[in-house]
Amino acid sequence: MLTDRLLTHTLDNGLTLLVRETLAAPVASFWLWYRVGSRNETPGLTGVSHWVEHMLFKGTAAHPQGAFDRMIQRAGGHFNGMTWVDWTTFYATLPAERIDLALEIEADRMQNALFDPVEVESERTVVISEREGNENRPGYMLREQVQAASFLSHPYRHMVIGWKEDLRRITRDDLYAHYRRFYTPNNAVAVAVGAFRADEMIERIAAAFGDIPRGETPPAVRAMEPKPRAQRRVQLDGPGGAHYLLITHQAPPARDPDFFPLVVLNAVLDGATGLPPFGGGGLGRAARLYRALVNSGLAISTNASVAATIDPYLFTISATVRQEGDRDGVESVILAELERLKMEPVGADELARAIKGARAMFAYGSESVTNQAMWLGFASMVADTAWLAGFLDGLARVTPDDIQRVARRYFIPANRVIGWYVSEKRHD
Amino acid sequence: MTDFPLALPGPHNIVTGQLSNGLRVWVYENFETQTVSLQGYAPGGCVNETPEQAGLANLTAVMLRRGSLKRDFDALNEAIEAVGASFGFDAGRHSLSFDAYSLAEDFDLTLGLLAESLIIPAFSEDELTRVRSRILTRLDERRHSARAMANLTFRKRLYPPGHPYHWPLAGEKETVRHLEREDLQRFYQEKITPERGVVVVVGAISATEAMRKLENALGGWRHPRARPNLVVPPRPVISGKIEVDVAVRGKSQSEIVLGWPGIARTDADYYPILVCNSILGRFGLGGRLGRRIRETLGLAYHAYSTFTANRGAGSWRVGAGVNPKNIAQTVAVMLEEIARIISQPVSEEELADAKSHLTGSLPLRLETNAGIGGYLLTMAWYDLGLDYLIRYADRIRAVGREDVLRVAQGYLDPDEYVLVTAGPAAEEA
Repeated sequence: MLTDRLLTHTLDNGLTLLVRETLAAPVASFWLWYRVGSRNETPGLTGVSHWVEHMLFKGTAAHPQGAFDRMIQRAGGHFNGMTWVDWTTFYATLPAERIDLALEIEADRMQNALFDPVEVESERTVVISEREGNENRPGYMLREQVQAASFLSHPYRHMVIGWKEDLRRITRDDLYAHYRRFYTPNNAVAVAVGAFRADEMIERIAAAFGDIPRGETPPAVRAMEPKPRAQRRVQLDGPGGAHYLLITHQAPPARDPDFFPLVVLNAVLDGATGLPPFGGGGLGRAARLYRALVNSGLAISTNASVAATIDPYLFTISATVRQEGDRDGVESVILAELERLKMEPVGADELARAIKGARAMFAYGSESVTNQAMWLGFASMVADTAWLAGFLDGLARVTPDDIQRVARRYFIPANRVIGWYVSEKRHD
Repeated sequence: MTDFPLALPGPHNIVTGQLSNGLRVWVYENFETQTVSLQGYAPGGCVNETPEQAGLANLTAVMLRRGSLKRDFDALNEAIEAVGASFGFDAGRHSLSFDAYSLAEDFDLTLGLLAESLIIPAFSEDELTRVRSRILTRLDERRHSARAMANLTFRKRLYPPGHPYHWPLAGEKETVRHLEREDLQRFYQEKITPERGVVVVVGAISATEAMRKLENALGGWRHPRARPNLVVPPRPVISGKIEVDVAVRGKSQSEIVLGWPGIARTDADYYPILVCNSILGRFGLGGRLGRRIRETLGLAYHAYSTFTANRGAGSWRVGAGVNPKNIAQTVAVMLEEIARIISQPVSEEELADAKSHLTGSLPLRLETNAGIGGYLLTMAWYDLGLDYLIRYADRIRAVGREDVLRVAQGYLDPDEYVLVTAGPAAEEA
């Protein structure tokens, strides 16, 4: 298990360390996770967290622009940054003997990123270009509208990349203030996994980060989504080669007792997944949705997904329907499958498949130190490492009754948004 | 820590053999993991299609996963998903590829399902109807994707009609629509063969056991009417500036692809091109192109350079996704960078950076069983030698500035190229 032989430690400045020694390959991965994402954004500043993440690649006084990527890549490593609803993370995976480079870089940019106004402007158009690339996909356009319809008040209602109108107006000072507020050791978790001695790694991380002063406690997210009371429908029309359906239901957060039953329910509908950081979907062709929609010829693909988050987020079901397909038919088959989950207990074979599938996914994923470090860090953002340690057991304890109970609780019309991207009938 | 060079897969720890039907086998034991990865190529792919059958190799590969004479599609899915494993088939230009991934404890079951799908496929009419309909919809979706249309159009302009690489793997609506069960059966029996095929197994299984199990499962697979097609397609020749714009309605962004004919995988220029390509459009956040187009000018989120290499010549191309109003400026910058890399040697520093990355990152690429298996499969298929990974770093280190300049001049040209843009039509932008 990933949490075996895991050392945890907290520095005086509040930085939490998770360190795991593995000697399977001569490599190591270092991740720095911050508790900030689109969840922490306010109207007018949507997308600010993701843009700040981009600015951390634009240099510090000690490491001018381009120096970070050059250092890591010269050493044979790969690196990236990611922003999601609840967190922002930076990582590098390197030959084990060079992993200190990642510590040096992350310690520097935790406090010294420049946010040069010229670089802010050139990155504004890069982020807008990233958004325009997303806009090219009908699935993105649909998701953005459905997500906005799924929440009345909570910041989960906007996409991580933000609205284009905000991206045009956000200032250098907005970005810098957000950075100073959230990029503090007491708001971060450092994770190292790889071929090193764990006790030495803790000392090295302490040496790199120990002098960074503790910051003020970041402001808590105030918004709480009110109880959903209305089913909503959303429709976009546009060019496309197929119709796209996305159905959402509000779903419980990672720490809720209903979360594990929903993960198993998701596997029954769509196949087993490992740990779902962004909302994992299975590729289950023996699972219920594929059989009902794809084997029947009603849809050409389908997916269900549940995401582990801090606040209540979304259980999503999607389908792609050919242009001459029966859209109403697809929608009613999905809703009928949800009703069936409420009425009939799921079979023992379906439960066993979900558990075995999750165990196999963990084994595949654990071959890479990058994945191990990602899972450890991600788990500590949305819950903690005890939650991760108990993940497979938590799934194994789920009973058919639990699944019926959560299906009845969450799959109700008042908790639902049904969204369609309808492709226009014009042949070109 | 172990001494790394000795830990690389090589002649001392890759076990090789051959099944009674001619399939070559490479096995690499890795008991650090709990899983087994199997990957293979059998000769027979797109190059064996006629233009009227474009998409046949792909449809055949998809249908291999849709039921055997022992078990229909549902039963196969039940069996494989019960153990959280997977297996599948894919069509390539010259080969049918297959792969499987499972926990070591489930290798027998997984191999058995793969083998029966490969050796006694059902090609059922019902499944064919569903699969064809799904592919036709995917082709409708492709028509509405700026990126897919840019790459597709680039391919068709780089390789002339009649060239075996001209058609997209998935085919065209007009051809796929007419592909029938008999076409699949004939293609499968007469074009795909285990002879000169390769299988690699990597993971928590002993080599002896793996060899025995593969012989039992796959040794009996024979297609006596098929002969491996060893023809190497000719390198295409382009002349002048070929510039094409494809309108894709309703988009925010245009996709640019600018490129040239490249090399075959076995070409000695492979290593200098690897280095040159890294400097041009990969190292850091996209090499020289990324530095100018993304970092300095803020024109694109993705700007890159890439090359492909197959039995025949692949392509070498650069690209970016930009707002339609910035196409002209971006293309101008790309052409400037091409002119620069063919006229002056790269700096010593750039050369050292790229080489250091390419050699240093090898252990990261060999971390998982699937990663190791992918390398072994390429080594076996292209006859690169059992010592390929061990010699890899020396081959990269041997590349000098003059080699980089030579391949840049040999393959890239700011006056003769294929340039495709795909995105909103002029009246939409």
